[in-house]
This record gives sequence, structure tokens and C-alpha cells, in this order.
Amino acid sequence: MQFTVAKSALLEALQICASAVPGKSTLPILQNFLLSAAEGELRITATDLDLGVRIAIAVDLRQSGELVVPARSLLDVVRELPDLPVEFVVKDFHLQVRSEGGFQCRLAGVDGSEFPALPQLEENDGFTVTSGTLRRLSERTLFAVSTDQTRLALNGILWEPSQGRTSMVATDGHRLGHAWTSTESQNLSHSVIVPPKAIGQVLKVAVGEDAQVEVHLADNSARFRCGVVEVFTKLIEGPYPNFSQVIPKASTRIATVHREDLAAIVRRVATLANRNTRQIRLSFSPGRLEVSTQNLDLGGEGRDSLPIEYQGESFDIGFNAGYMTEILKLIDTPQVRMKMNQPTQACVLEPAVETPDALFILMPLRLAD
Amino acid sequence: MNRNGKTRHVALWVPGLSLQLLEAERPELRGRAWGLASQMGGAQARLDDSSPRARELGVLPGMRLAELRRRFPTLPLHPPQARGIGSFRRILSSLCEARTPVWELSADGALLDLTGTEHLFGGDWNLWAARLRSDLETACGIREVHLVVSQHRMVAEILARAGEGRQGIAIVESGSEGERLGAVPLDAVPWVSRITRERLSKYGISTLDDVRRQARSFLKLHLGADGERLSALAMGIDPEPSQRTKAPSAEMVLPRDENDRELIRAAVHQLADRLAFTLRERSLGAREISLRLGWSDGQEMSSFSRPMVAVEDFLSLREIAWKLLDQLDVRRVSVRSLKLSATRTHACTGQVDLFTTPDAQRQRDLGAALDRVRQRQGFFAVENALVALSV
Repeated sequence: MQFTVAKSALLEALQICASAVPGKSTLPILQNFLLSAAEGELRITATDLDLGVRIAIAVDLRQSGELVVPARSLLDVVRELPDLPVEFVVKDFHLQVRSEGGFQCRLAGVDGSEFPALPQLEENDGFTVTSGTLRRLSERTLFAVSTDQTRLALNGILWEPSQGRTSMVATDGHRLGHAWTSTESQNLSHSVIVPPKAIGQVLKVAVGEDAQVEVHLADNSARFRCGVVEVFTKLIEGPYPNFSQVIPKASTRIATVHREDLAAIVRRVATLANRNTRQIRLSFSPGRLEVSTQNLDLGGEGRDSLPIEYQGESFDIGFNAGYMTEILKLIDTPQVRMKMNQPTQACVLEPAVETPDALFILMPLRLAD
Repeated sequence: MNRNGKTRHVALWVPGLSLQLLEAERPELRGRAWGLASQMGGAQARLDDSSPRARELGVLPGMRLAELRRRFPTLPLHPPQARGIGSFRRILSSLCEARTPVWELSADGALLDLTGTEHLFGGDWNLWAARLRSDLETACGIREVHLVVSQHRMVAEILARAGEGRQGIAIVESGSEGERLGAVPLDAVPWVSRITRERLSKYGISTLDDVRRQARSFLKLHLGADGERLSALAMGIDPEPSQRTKAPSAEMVLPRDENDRELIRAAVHQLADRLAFTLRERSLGAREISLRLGWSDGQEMSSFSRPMVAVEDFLSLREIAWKLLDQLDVRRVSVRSLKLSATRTHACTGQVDLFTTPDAQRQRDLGAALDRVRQRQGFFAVENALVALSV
């Protein structure tokens, strides 16, 4: 293998791939890049077996071939090179790096066939989604992805076709984020559970709102292609819990609150809340919402209130302030609608517009009295 | 461990030990005004203690001897008798040893761990105290002794020093520690130094009740680790617990060795109810549940399960326990004992789970209702209908 490439293009590609290299692994080969040169381009591949990233960059190719080289060392070397073309030559499983500035080095490599293969997916079985849509859907769900290893299905985002639209859902049992596309799209044929890391990786490379992301799905893996970058991921095995069953169909207590004012009050009062439970009490009364907290450890308490649109009976409900702040950040309308029934039942928060494109569920904290 | 599973610590404190020993040796001093001073000369010499009559006249321990002599020139002063104190400690040691193998002496008293010995004296604490007082008076002439029995040694010691148990013996029921300690002045807490007391008095804190009203963070800020210790004590939590906190558990020895699977399942059923009550009482959720079976041939085996979410309700615990029973009960030997424990727990924050089924929620509410009755009337005051039906 022999090729010449511009340092800046190579460095950018290596940096993108490096995010798939595991920090620690029982398989040492995973801490390497696979370099494959053919047909005028260099393909750099990295994987941690769950997530794989492959990027192709144009090079001045003289001889094709492939080699596995230590990821960290190659990245460090390339980062320190002058911004000039760099020549790579492979000889006897050693990668020789020669910069036009005069720098030369050699890195020991391994045969490319040793590197784990990325999943093969059918080219014709895909659809396209814009990066803006992907970002909007995933941003409103990523926060709720569970990390509980005992509920593996909840460790991912459920991406599913729903009533002619595409929706994403994530929950950890304490909160739920559900977002859907506002226009009809029949792209997705079946539901899949995508690891959040893969979505995050795709969003890193799909810059802007209009970048096209090609998605190819197989039974247990998926590939996202955005320009020259391909992200491969294993899909999480289901079944995903039937989330629609836990979304309250009707609510007896509905309040409309100014989102920013509520977020500010919750943040302010939460400074005094118990550090473990982060519990705050929301006391609804006609036309007014009081947010309060008591902290026995600190020996302090805090309260604040704001006017709201609410005409029901007075009642109190407890929430984790951290969870609530996070959800309020994700709603992009000036007003937020809170739909509640009982103080121990789910509270639905959604943008206070006629046709909302997302809803969030926040489970309450049981109040002591 | 006694039959209730509670520890029993008795604090014995002799107020004015040196005074009492001197009076025992010189009975003519009784009822008269006199003082005790280990150092008779020097500008800094202070009075160690004074007789009750002298205190009535205004002669207080800690007074400078120079001032004392100026104000009460005729007051007789006596040095403490080291030999008498040594002899008292030897006698007290033998009296303690005769009552329990676990005891320790303090500077002016003793702590006896009488856990599990109540059946030896019939559980009559007053009789026990009367005998000890009589033995002490006969052996070394000590007339005034404070005796307090409590589940926590520190509580017993503090209350004895605070003047409780002058007559008979003061019994501190479990759960009432915080209330009993409330009015106790900080002088009675052995590890609160004079400097600490002075610092606290600046903020108007002179009793444990005052301490309880302060935030833990305030006390920690001013007194460091001692502040936290004091705060815990004021809440009725012994900062030096007598025993390590054990995993919440419920155990049972069957009335007779049992082979009948249904009866064993019913026993597990009861254990799950008891464990669920304990968990809810301590605001804990179980993340690992173990079942240990003991067979009539002396063998024991245990197995555990880690549920997907922390459980605290009776039904979930029962299901897990039954599965564990199925795994364990494979021997053709009759079962003698069972123990169900929550070996890994985490504090419940009160967070409601989205996937809690209505049934589980109903069970939780039912459990909470039963808990309220049980907390007032005792665990067996009310029985879960499912448990009753299963037996």
C-alpha cells in the first residue's frame, strides 16, 4: 500500500473515527484503525464491535492494500505533522510515514484481515432522512435513555413508524421523551431500537439541518451514511415496552405555564432541594403555581410562585427538579401544557400549541404528606 | 440477642464518686458542708467537688480555691482517696462480672451489656437494680447510683449522667430515645468538651433539644465530625451503635420439620410480607433478594435473585422468593428454617416508575395502609388477607 494525502483531511478523518475506538478493551485489535486503500481512496475504519465508523477520503494512490495500525499513535503522529502532504508506505506490515517537511517514522501494524468485519447491509434497502429531522427527534429523546443494564431495551431509542410519520421514544421509567415528525413520511418500515451512542455519532458528522443521512436497516444492525462517513451499529434487541399504554389518554388537571418562568423558578428553588432526591413540590391552585422545597439536611426551605392558567381544584405534586428542568429545556414554545391526574400518576408536559410534535412524561416523586 | 432481637445496655453512674467514697469512710461528713480538692495550693488550684450541703451555700465545683477560702474561710477541704477509688473499681468489676460477661468500666461508673440475659433474672429490671444497689452499698458504702437501661449504650450513659434512674432503674423504650434525650443538657454528653459547650451556648444551644432544632450542616460547620455525631444523637440515633446494621431480613423456624411443599410456600409467603414491611419502614428497595433454607440434617443453602427494579412490595417479593424456593428445595430432606433477606438495598427516593402496573400500585397502597396500622399496633395486629388465606 502506498499513497499520499493532505494532512488536514487525514487528521479530520482520523478524529472522526477515533470516537469509535474503545478506551479499554479485552480485544487489543479494537484499539487500532484499519486502513484500506483502493480505487483512489483511503478507507479508515474503527469499531468497538457495537459501534463502527468508516470514512473514505480521496488520496493519491499508487498501490492498494490494507493494514491495521495503532489508533492512538497514528492520530498523535498525524496531529503533530506540518500541514503538508504526507506519504504513507506499507512494507512488511510496517507503516512508514513521510512528511514533505522531512519528518519520517515507522509504526508496526497487523494484517488487515485480523480486523473485525463491519456488518454487510443491502444497498437498496434504505431510506433518507435529513439531519435536522434526526436531530430534532433524537434531542428530545436522548435525555431519557436508560443506563440500567437490567432493562436493556430501554438502553436505546425506539425509532418507529407511527401513523404515517416517524417517531422516536426513549424512557428510563422515570421520564419519557416522545417526538415525531410533523409531516408524513413512510421511510421506516419497522421499529428498531438504536443505541444512543450511534445517533450521537451520526449527529456529530451530519452538520447543519439539511444534510442527507442514508439509513440502511437489517435485522440486528443498522448503517447510517452521511457523505463520506458511515456509522454502523448493532441494534438493541426488543421488545420495547408498550409505551403508548402508559401515556395517559385523558387528564383531569391541565395547567398552562410560561415555560421560561417555570424553568427559572424550578432552578432557583432546586438549589435548596435535597441533593439525592432533588425533590420539589408543585402546589397548583386556580391561577397560581407555587414551587417549594424543604431540605432537612440543610435545615432550609425555599418557595416561589408564578401565575398560570389553571382552573381545577388545588393539589400538590412532587417532582425531581433535575428531570423537570431537563424537559423544560427541550420544549421550544413559550408556553408549556402540564396534564396531570393524581399526584402519584404520570404528568404529561407538551408544547402548548394546537398540534404539538413532542410530548414528555415526568413521573412524580411521592410526597411525604 | 434477646428474644425481641433488641440489645439491652445498662449504664451505671455514681454521681460524686469521690464524695460518696469519702463519706462512706467517714460517716461524720454526711449532711455537712465540705469540699474535695486534689490540689490544695497554687493560684490555679480549683475545687473538684462539693457536698450537697456546701452546694446549697454556693460552693460550686470548679471554683478557685483562693476565692473559696476568701468567701468560705471555715469550709473544710479534703483530698480524694485514690485507694478508695481503686477498691471501688475492683468491687464494681466483680459485681458486673457476676451479672454479665460483657461490661466495661468508665471513670465513675460502668456499662453492662445485658442483652439476652433477661430470662436469668425474670425480666424484672427494678428487682435487678435493687439487688445491684444493695450489693454496692454493702460492699463500698455507695448510696446514690443512677441506673438506666436502653437499647443504645450512649443513650443509657447520657441519661444516667443527666440524672435519670436515681430510684430503681429508668427504662428507655426503643423509639423514645430522641424524646427522652431532648431536655438533657450538653454537660451530660461525655464527649462534648467544655469548649464545645461554650461555643454552642453562643448560639443558644444548651440541650440536645436545641441541637435537634439546628440543621446538621450548621453543626458540622461549627463542630466538624463532632457536630454530625451530636446531631445524630439529638435525633435519637446512637452515634456508637451496639451492632452493625444488618441486611433487612425475616426468618422463621418451622414448628416442625416440614416436607409439605405447600406449607413451605406458605411460610415463604409470610416471610415476604414481613420483609416488605421492614423495607418500607426503612424506606428501602431491595435490589438483591436472598433466600436461605435450613434442612433438618443441619445443611443450609441459599440462593439470590436480582430483580430488574428495586422492589419493596409484598407481591413482587413473594414471587421472587417462590422462584428461589423452587431452585433451592431440591433435597429429599425436610425443611427446618427459612430466611429471606434483602442483601442489596438502595434508599427509595419516592420516585414513581412509569411501568409500575396498577396491580403493583394497588399492592403498594395496601401495604402502606397496613404499615400505618402495624406501626401503631405492632406487626401482628393486622394480617395481609393473602397471607391469611395461604396458611
